[in-house]
Amino acid sequence: MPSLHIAAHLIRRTMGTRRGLLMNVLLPAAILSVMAGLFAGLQGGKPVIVVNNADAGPLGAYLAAAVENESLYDVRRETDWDEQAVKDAVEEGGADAAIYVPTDFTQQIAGGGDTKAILYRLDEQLWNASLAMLLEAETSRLAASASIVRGAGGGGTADAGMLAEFVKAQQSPAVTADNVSMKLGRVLSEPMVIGLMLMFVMLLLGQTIGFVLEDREKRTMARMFTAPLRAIDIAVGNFAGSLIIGSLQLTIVLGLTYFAFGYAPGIPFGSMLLVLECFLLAALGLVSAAAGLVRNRTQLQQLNTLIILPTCMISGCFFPLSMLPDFIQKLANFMPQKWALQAIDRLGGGQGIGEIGLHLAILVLFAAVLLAFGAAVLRPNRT
Amino acid sequence: MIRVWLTTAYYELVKYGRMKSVLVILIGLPLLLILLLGSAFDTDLKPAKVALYVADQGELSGSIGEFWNGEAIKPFVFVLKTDSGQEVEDYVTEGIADYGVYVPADFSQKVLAGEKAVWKTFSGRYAEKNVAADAVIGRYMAELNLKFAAMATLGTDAPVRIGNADARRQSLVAIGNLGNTEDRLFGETSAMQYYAAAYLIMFLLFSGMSAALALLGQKEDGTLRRLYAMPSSFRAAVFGVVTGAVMLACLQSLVVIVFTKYVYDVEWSGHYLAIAAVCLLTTAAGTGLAIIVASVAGTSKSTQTLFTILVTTMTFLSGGMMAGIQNMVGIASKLTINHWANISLRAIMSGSDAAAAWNAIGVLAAIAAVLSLIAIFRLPKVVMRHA
Amino acid sequence: MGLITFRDVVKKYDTSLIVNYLNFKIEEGEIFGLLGPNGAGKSTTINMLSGLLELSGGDIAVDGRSIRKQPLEVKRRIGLVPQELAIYETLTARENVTFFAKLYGLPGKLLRERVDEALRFVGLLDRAKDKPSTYSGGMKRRLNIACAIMHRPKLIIMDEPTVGIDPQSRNHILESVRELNRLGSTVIYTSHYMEEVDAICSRIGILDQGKLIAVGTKEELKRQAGQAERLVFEIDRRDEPALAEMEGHPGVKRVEESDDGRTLIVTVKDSPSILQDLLFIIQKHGIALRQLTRIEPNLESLFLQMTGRTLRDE
Repeated sequence: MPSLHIAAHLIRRTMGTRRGLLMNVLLPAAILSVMAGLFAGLQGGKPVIVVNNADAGPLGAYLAAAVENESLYDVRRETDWDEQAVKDAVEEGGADAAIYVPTDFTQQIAGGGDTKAILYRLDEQLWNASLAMLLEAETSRLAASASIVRGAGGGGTADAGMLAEFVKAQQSPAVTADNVSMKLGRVLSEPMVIGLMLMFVMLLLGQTIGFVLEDREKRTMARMFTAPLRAIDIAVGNFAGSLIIGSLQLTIVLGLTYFAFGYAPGIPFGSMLLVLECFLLAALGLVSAAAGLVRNRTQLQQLNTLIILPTCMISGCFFPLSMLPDFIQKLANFMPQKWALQAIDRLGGGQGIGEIGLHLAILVLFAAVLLAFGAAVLRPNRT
Repeated sequence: MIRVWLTTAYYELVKYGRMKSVLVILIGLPLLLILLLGSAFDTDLKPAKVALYVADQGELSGSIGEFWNGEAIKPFVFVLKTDSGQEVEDYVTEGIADYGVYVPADFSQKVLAGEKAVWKTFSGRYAEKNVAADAVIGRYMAELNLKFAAMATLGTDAPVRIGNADARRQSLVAIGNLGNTEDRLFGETSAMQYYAAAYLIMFLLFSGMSAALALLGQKEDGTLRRLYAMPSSFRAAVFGVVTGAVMLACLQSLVVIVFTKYVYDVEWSGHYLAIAAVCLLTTAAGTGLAIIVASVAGTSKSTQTLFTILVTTMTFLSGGMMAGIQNMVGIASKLTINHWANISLRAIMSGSDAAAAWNAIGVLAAIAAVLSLIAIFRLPKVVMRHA
Repeated sequence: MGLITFRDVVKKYDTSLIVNYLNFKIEEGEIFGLLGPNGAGKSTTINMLSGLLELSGGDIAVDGRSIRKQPLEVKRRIGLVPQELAIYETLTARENVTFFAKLYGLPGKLLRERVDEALRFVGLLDRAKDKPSTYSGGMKRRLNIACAIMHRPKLIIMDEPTVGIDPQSRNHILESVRELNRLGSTVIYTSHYMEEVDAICSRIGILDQGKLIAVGTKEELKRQAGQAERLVFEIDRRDEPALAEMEGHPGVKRVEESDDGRTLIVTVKDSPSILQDLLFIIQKHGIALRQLTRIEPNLESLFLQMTGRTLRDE
């Protein structure tokens, strides 16, 4: 019962005031929602590729079809653009890349001539390097086919009909790559929104634990302890209070981003909340353990800046973990954020709660170990 | 007068030296952020990590091995060998690999029997890496298929090689890069250089805040009044407090630049005078801004909050947190101190366009001058109890 | 049997003995002053009594209940007014008192009554809706007291409640202590200000280096220390025979004379009729008495005498 009062008291101090409600609940929700909106907008589009096939023969169409088959690109077929128009489209931002197949493409390939399909892009990036490679592979294949047909016909120019037939024969190849569809979440590759959410959970817990620390500093915790209650009552009260505050903040922030701002990572609200709750526990452990190392609130704030931002970075909260060097990726295993992100990613990939049991267990284990260190902060010291 | 100024500045520095956590935040944190962001966004073209398991021991296994170990695919894929098909899948699920390939045990056998044969591939999270891996595999498949198609349609059994391996032939694709370097994510500098500049500037601005905080703190403690009561120039003392923070910023720049140069191999180029000018101007602008903020906010706590929000926002808008943002926010980026300081540092680093560098430094100097002037005008509000 | 009994109470930190075998009793209805220089073990003793610190040895019983065995029962009977302002600056006065009252488990209606009562007692009822951040130092001190008395404790412990406040608030607080005592609470009062302790305490314990070196009523302590009263006579002229007669009186220890001989400081032994005798001598010699002042032995000098140190400025 006294624990309940202490918990309620902590909640009132954190979000009971207008300022507290604004700073600790509404502002984070607003920032997260804006970020979610911003990133949804950023990540929406596929690269637009304008393809103009001016080729008189069949091979140009073949090449264009090969590009079109790649689902990564948003391919727009144009028919009567000249090379300059295609180039302008890229320069003026109408397209991310453009391909121009010259009029004599088939003729030149068949004759073993030196024709080129032209790719325009702004600069080299992995996606358009891949596009270039795709084009390269296809044109090389056409050229090789032509060379074989030429060899078979014994003439200087491959017979166009025969070449077309030969190329067509390759349309149903014997050897193929069978892509096994993987159900993968999009969180690990685009972690920003969830990552920010995790960071806010930690920052807000820092605020809450700051209040507990203030209780110790200003001796109001000692005063609580002169009331007829045990140390454990105070610890439980502060623990429960922090959890309730965190949960309330989470529910409100998540609710706002989900329902008011329409961020939908394809994960059920309940499952998402469950993972975040487990993370909340682990983060509470982390923050209270950090609080155990310092003497006052100012120091806690400084320590939090030093701990929260870098750990979020190296555990893949802001950019994919795979971008970081290997040793940092290994280090990330010791950060609760990494496990939360992975669990959410799996949920996003369509897996159920049952399949992320291990992740949740690890988060709870983090909480248990760290809380053992941090528990001293939550109760009055008796030495 | 000079003595008062130097004495206060010296004791300010001593005080900063005692604040270990402040030093760690001002010097350690930028170094850490530079390392993390610099190595994360290292190059634009990172090969896709492909988890590979070849179960096939048949006749084609030799050529398969040759293909995966070949130099031609190195720029596009990095092979992670695994011990089973399941492991390939797990690597992709966990995000350890970007793509997975599993060559079944009966592959050679089926191919040679003329049956349909497949490699199992697992696409990962990153579309551009999937395409890269797809293209690499497509090339191998095309070669094999071409060979069989030739046998089937034309009856020839000629050896088939596709692509650049045929040295006589040039590439059949011409590539035009239309963008100028301005449009590239990190401009002419590397990611490491880019973030080294961005975070040096951001934390220099924070050092500027310590001047305002020191003045407010001394006012709140009452030590500033004691200085005021002394029979020496109060201006010199206040100026000394500010100088202390500027010296802290100098020390900070020195440590960050030397450390990143020798430990992270960041190329700062040899124009140290120009770099020093940028650092000093940034510190001046930061100090000025912080004093203006302090004159409005009144207490050190709200000054800290306001200024932190301001600097973080400016850093974000100028692309210090996510490169590329500066091009999306339009004019807003150009209104920040960070923008001009960053582009002058980057221009100095790349060493290509001296005029652009001096141009940006000029704008930075103008900003610093205006902010400092306003700050001097507002300074009494910060240091006097009832001004 | 006293209300509070200290029995062989010991507190150790590592190897150093902060509280060294305390044994004493405090009776119901007393205002007990606990005196001692910084580091004497006052706060440690009080913290052990109020359950904030564990005892290293011995036991303290309050109202027959052991702090070791029934800590909650003991705490229920105690209200501690800590030295620090242990109040929430961001909560109103009423919210502050209410929060702590809830921790004592006071139920709804009673809770509101008691909170009002406590606020009225310290004179803050009309400012109950304001936050302490708008209060003066003295008002904060009074709120600090209100937070400790709303459960009507049998024992109120005041740990330096008057540090750093204006004389008016200080008088208010001292008056409150007397009032609380009149209403039936036993009070333990520690202070650096001798005159406060002297003014309100019925019994005093002197603590030094973890030991209780003296305990008793003021008079008992003074007697124990062998200190005597001094009488200061201001007279119109010097008179040798009168001086000699005074010095010869069996109840007089010593007579000091000022340079002009017009002020006599007479240190007397404890004797009921001594003042009458001395006045008679003066009258007999035809000396006019301008003024007579009685200097009682003070605790400050008593402490100095017992420990060889002063209470403050350590």
